[in-house]
Amino acid sequence: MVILKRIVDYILKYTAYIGRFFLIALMLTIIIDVVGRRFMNTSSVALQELEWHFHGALFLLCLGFTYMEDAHVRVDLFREKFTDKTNRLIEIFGCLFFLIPYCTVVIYFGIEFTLKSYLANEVSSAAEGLSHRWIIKSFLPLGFLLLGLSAVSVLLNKSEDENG
Amino acid sequence: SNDVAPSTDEDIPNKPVNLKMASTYPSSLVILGTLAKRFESQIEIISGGDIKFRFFEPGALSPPLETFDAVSYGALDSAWSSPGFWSGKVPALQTFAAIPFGPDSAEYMAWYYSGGGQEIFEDIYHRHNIHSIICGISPPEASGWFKEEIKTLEDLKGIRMRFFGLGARVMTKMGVSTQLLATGDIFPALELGAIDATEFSVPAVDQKLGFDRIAKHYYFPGWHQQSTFFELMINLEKWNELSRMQQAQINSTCGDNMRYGIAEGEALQAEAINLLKESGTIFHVWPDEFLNAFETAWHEVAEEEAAKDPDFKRSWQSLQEFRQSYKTWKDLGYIKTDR
Amino acid sequence: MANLIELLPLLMFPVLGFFLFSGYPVAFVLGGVGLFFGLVGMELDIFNFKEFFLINSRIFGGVVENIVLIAIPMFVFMGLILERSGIAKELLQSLQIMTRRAPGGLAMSVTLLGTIMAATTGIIGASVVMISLMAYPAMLAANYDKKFTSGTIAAAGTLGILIPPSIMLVIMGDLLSISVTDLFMTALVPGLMLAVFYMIYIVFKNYNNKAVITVPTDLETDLSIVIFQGFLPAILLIMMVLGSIFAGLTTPTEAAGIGAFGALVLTVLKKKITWNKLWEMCDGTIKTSGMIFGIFVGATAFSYVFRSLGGDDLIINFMNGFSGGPWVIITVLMVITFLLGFFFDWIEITLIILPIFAPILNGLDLGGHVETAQILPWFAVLVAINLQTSFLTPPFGFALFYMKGVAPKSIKMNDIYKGVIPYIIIQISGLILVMIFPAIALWLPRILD
Ligand code: NA
Ligand code: NA
Repeated sequence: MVILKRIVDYILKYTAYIGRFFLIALMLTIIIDVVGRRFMNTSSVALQELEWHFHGALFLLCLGFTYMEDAHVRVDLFREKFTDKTNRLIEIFGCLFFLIPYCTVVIYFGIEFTLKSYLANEVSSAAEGLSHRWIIKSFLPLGFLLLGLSAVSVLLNKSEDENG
Repeated sequence: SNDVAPSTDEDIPNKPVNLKMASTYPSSLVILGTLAKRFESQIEIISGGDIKFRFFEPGALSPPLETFDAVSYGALDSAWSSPGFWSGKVPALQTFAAIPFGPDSAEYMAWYYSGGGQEIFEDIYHRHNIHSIICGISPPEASGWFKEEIKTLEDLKGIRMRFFGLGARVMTKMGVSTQLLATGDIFPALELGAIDATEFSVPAVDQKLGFDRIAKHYYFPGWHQQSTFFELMINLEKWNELSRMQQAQINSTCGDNMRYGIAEGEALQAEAINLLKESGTIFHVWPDEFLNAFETAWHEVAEEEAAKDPDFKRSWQSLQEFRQSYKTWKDLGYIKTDR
Repeated sequence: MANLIELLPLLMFPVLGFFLFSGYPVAFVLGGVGLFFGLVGMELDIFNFKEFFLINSRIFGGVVENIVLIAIPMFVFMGLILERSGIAKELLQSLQIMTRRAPGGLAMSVTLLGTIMAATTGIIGASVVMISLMAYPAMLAANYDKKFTSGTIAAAGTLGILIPPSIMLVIMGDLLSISVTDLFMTALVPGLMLAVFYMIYIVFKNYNNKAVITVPTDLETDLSIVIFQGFLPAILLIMMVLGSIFAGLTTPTEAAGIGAFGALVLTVLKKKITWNKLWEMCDGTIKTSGMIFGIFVGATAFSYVFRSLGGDDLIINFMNGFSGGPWVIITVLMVITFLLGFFFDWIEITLIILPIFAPILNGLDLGGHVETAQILPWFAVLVAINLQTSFLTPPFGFALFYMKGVAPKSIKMNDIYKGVIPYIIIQISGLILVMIFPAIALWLPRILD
């Protein structure tokens, strides 16, 4: 169990580090796009699409990491008044009945969604846009897989608390 | 003729249906959206309440560009759009939306209904588990709004313009830097100068949206869209579950929508143009030099597209052959406009 | 039974509210409740399992592919850089010194900052988070109480959606088929008016507030140093962001990227950065983006199921049930918009109500109170003010969630909920004023025509 949790946390942490790369890349792409368009008359459709590719990949990869780090917003009005045990049960209930089913559905249809794009060899609808749409689409099931993993990590954590 | 297409040999009994219809155009847009609303209300009357479509604004159920996959998968019953939206998935469908230097509405419909277009169209769509019906049409679009007057071909070079679809490829060949901005981004971008020009729609739509406040030069003719088809995509399984009568009712209502689209589309523009003239918009007509250059570039683009995609080639060739033979009649039967 | 099934979408609200207060993350409660009701709909044969496919379509087409939302990670990054490097603190301290004679000077500076930021983006997630990052530490350090601080920041951060350029106004123009330029002009004065109201309230509230430290004494020594080191660099940065938009160099979205890059350059110039600090800023941005987009993604699943189960029709039928004079109708429309604001995001609300409102309004005769041709733009601004308020109204004020996500640990949801109440009252007063005096909105476009 402990090893499993360590592996899951490791995966979440390192995929989030890839997010750092996407963040910096996004910023630099915007700069290159703006400078190029303004001063060098370069066409920028592909760069603009690259921007939202980076942006999408960035937030999808980090949904799970955010949960692992407990940075998702909670309405803590009653949370403080509940006992630790109640809060732990709420967390376990939420993971089992909200988060994991939700991730399962998005992953299931996300694979269909990506597959459709792959089989149709989908490209941008803009003339000079990017090709291979399935790559960015595959970040959808991937991101929700990571989010589901973070639920597993939290569950392992909570059951550990229970034992310890 | 092709109007009533029974999908099965044995007829299915009539039973009332409720279908969700996601739209790629807001209902408020003249022709583009109002034709969908018209279909929604007419089909209910004509079917005696047997067939109900429920119109949803773009993004309400599905983001506009996602409707194709959703209808194909069966997540959406139907969607209102233009086949030109699917250039990234099925490039050939662009030939069923609007074609640069393409036919006017009469000729386009002649090819589609009686010249082989519909067979190709349905064949392509059925492979994607969609039955699509051409269900609306609009008159020629404007060629676009420019902040600065375009005097020579040289002036086009380096211009940043929002452009969509096949026409964008042509503009790129003219040295224009085309970009596809989200609808919401066009206005601020044009206003604040991130782009210098944009094409959008017919004068009646453009006028309502107030593009004249930001760009003064309005160019015609819309060589990239002489007439535009709109479609009603229905999930193929849903379509096959309909009785023959219901299918005929839908086909006939769409046919009637075409009549309405032409009549309304042709009738509305003059008033919008007058309003724009009053507010100081300067109207330009592209000189032949420009149109010739655009047309040459377009033929290169069409060749390239046809070389890339067999379906594109198939429908493009069908259209070309039809137009060639149609010309014999057109030259003879119609009064020359430059008489 | 059939009637009960039709009412199913309504049941989503209490269930959502219940689990929201359980303290489980908002993002997952939204998604989970949406999913649950989809399953209930399947049992009742009014929903098809395949329809869940559209959740992916909505995340991809509405969030991933949405160029405008790129502003969020970029402005968050900019805010974090300014905060972690101490530049934000220096800026606010210098503002505090410069406004030391005014009661509540720092709070007013924050409102001013919000008004300036409003001109860069209409993306609430971006502006609220950025202002929260910069202003929370400074205001708390100056002894402003938690509730007042939270309310002030929330109100300042949401101005961006009203003051042009604003993506919300663009979409509204689109849905109503009216000119966006007109709408921008119509919204400008009411937006600025609200900012002024905020400031009046701040002065009033802090007039005799002895607890608030108006000037950090150690900083008062040399005003010129404060201005040159604290004020000018940061203001130049903000001006650069604004300038790049108004000079037509960039779209508002791209300006966010320029801002982040500029902030990074500034930090390097001030020698306030190390690699470790940079990674820290990146990770902070990643987590904040995860937090914001988690809510986006959950909310899109929730509102999709609501709509798919026929929720829109319920609202429409409800509205059609009312009859009465034009003022009754307008008031009812305003109240419905306000109530929807308790639970939904502006984009979902506008998609439900505007297409239904437009034909109703087009036939309205207000007896010369508003010219027929100007009813739509005027009404659009009323809706816009109303929707800005919806970001602030508990329990589902999205701006409040974003703030909570980045606020210091000592800030509780309760502080935020209570702190926004005076500002919500200001908003409603502003709304009523524009209803009674349409000229507040219509004057500017008229003289510019
Ligand atoms: Na704004
Ligand atoms: Na709210």
